[in-house]
Amino acid sequence: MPSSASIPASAGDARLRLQAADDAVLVSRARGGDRAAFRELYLRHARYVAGAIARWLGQGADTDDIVQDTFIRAAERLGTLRSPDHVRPWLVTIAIRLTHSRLVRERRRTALLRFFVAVQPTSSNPRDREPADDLSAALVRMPEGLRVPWMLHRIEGEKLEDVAVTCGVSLATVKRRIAQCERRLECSGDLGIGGAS
Amino acid sequence: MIDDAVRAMAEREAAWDPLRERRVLGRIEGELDRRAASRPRRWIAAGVAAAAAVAMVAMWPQSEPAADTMGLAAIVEPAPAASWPAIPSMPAAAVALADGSTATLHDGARIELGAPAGDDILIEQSVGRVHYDVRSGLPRTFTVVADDVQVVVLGTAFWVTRDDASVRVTVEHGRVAVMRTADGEGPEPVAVLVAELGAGDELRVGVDEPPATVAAVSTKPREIKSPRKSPTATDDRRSVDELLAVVDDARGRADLAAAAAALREIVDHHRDDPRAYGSAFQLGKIERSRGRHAAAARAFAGAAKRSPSGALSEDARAEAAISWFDAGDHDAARRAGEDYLARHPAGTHEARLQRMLQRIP
Repeated sequence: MPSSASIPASAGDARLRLQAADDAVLVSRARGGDRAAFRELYLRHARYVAGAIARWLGQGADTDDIVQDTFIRAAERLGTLRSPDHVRPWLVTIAIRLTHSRLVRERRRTALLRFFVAVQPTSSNPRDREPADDLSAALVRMPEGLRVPWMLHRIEGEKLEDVAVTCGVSLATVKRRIAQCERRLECSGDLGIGGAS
Repeated sequence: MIDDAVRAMAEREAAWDPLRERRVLGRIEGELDRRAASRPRRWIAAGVAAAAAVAMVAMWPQSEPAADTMGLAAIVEPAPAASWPAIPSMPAAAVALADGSTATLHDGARIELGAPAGDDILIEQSVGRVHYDVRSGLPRTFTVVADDVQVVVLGTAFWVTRDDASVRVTVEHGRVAVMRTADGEGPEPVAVLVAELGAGDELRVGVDEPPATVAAVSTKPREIKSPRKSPTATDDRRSVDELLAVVDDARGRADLAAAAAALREIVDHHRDDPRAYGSAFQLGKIERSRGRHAAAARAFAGAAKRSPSGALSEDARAEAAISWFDAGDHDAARRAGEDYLARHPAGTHEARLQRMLQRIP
């Protein structure tokens, strides 16, 4: 990172310095109340976070809302981030949790409606659904402790070591949880992807 | 194969562009600014929020057609969150709903109105205490959702209090069905009947506790909407639905003996039905109102024994002790009271039972 002690910097210079800084430095500055550093973190990672949400949720207006909530929550809890250089998977973890909450809320509403007004599932015929839709639905039912590491590794492509750091558990535990999640998904009869294999 | 699904999912991309990026960033910074500004002066914001809510409620379009009022989701926040400094005499906000029902919000309550289908009303209550006064006799379902607890109303007035740990439902008059959603055997969640409550009943449901009746999932549409169908059973053993209809009719006629008999039949002959648990508790209340305190105590004790960690079990243990006391069986009252205090040392009936124990010679 360039030294900031020499000549007075313009706004453009400051932006360039921020772009050159690594995530850990930005996190440190954002923790101290530097709004520009937090904005730079957002600009670096918002697209990726939005992608992580869309991969689970599919395309929809909810993505913007969840990205917004993710970064607001991140701003409020930046002090709890254990590994500042792992800010991206940490943000994705927050996004996964918020997406899960939203999906659960929708499922509750659907269940209630179906109970009282006989609303049918929107895609009752398995042939109308994409494999990723079945997988998305199955992941909602997965315990968080299995779902988060599995998604970080299998969907987001994070390295196992990074997943372990983000989840705050050992590498062996991460491997075991991912394998357990995989087994459950494969055995899930309602997935439409396990029974035929 | 799971790998195909994983690959398909991993290839999904967000339709993210610089415009969306800036728009969302603006919303984030606006929200962070708002929160930062509100922190040191929350007590001011509290007063403003309450006043604004009252003003907004005063402007609520009471005479608008249902479709206009309910077609848009609306969020009503009349008072600050509970963690803010307490404001004495915080005004309550009354929300007039399109069907003539009202929801009066207290203690920082927050509700969201949705439009599930047709004229049906769905209210999501995320926090606080709300009094609902629901117009009866209308051909629609009126449902309040608080966490995964749903209160389905059949024309009544009742309270729902939502805090971090529980949802409490208190019925003033009329009848409600309390339900929860849970994972069933299939991929979709199912709605599960927890209890049906009548006038004077109160039920507290811990939101972290799994539904007690998940094993007996019912997914028949509108099963709760027609509990008053005529009992036309011809065989010796009537169904629970039929017996509950008898209970309703009997209570409507103030025929407590008939209501008790029907409830006892549910308890004795439909032990495996999840509604037998609530029926045992109801039986205790009816027996006590008939002055049959020993019978009431046995019914309450039976309810607690049937589901020791159920939503009604704490209340059932307390009521059993009190009923034994009223029946004059002081030994049983002492045992039941001490059992309650051992299980629920900080329970809601603790002071009441301490007083009872002091009165036992």
